Amino acid sequence: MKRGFLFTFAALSLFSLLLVMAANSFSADSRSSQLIAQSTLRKVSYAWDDINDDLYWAVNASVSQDGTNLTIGDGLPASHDLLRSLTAYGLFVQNYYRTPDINVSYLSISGPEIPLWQLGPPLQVTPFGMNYSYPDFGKNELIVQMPTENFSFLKQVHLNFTLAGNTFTDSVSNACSLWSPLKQCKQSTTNCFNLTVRITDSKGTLYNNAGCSSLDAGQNSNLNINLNDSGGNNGWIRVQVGKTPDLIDVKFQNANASVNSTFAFNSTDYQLNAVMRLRVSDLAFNASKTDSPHS
Amino acid sequence: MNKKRARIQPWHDKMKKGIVFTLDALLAATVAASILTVLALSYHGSQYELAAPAQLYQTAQDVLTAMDKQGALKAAFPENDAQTQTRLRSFISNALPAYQGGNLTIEVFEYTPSSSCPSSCRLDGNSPVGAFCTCRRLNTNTGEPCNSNASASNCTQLARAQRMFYDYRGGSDVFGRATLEVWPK
Repeated sequence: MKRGFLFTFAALSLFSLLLVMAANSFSADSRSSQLIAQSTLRKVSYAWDDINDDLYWAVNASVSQDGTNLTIGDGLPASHDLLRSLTAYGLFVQNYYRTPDINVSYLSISGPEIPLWQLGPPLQVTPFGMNYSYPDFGKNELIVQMPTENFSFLKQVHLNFTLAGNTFTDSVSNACSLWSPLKQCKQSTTNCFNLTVRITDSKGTLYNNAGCSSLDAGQNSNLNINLNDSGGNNGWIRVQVGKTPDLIDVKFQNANASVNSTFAFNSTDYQLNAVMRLRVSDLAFNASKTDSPHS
Repeated sequence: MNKKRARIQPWHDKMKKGIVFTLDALLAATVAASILTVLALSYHGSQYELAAPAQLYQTAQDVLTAMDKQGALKAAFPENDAQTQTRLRSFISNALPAYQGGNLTIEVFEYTPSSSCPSSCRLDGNSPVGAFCTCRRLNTNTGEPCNSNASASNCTQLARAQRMFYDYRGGSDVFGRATLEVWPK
């Protein structure tokens, strides 16, 4: 009986050890899988972030967010062929940046894959549905649209133009007289749009619409400023305001400007997205990140 | 009466058996402890083997991402090689922990739609819509083991991360590729 007791004890001990070994092995396998999954996701996320960071540079725009203020820096019209830049960017990602285990694709919002140079230019501020766009990458026109029902999210807009090589043809001291028509807010105005426009010409002369910056977004107001370029050619800038959903439409003729547009919202909870999606996939582990490029 | 007496074991017999049991138990406990120790060590070893390269890779990517977001990579475009090397070497030595070494390689490419490169560059590859010229290649080599001897034992854990950067300069689309290798010292 004593010997039997010893054998039983030894058998139980060995069996317990076997159980501990199995549990350890299972735990190690599971931890290894977790580590591999984490590494793969990190790799995909880093690559996505990298491509996302430079996409705005490729369309010659810069974006910064400071609490409720969103500032988009832009050069209008385009100083160079942005389609060529986008093509080059796509080729570089494909041939020099992408590793063999990573795939990079660009998707339209509706789903299908498209070449990078076929992307439309609009940028969208979600969740307000505000669009910042151009008709094409020539950037001869800047269009800002905001759904009427979301207008209340927008507190104020500052448009700051710095002209390169253009001077004002006429005096700009009487700022409000350059607007025609000028529809300022009344007590009955539903959507009162607070817009400040500052234009500095190449001689440092400043136009500022401080006296007429409260505009009725439900009606059209137009600012027309005539310019000369260094070759003596005539040009102009036209800023059209309203009617919502069309909020701002800026057109240029023989003029070059760097434009800083600051949009002040009444919430910090927003994001600027390109109207496309960027997908980075790890081919070996079937992991991917798909999202709209954003600031 | 005699039968009853015969069943009672003397005290020294009981003690002998107790010693045997105790020795047996001690032996079993020692064997069990040894096996558990070996298991625990091998478990931690395997975790380290998996976790260490992943951590090195993450460190390398974090340093590159910080460099890119602070504009330290793009700043290389207008600089000469010596300026870039000095600046980035200092950045890396401040960013990496003392127990890790690193080497950063910067390559600068220029896109040409016409397949002809500036004189300081060489044509690298053609595509139906243009080509890339390789214009610069430099690294922050500090002569540490993995720089001079890639087969050194600590270089087996070398992790490599890369990041791209872009600018439009002087009428051309200019691209950079930064590759950072990190290893335990």
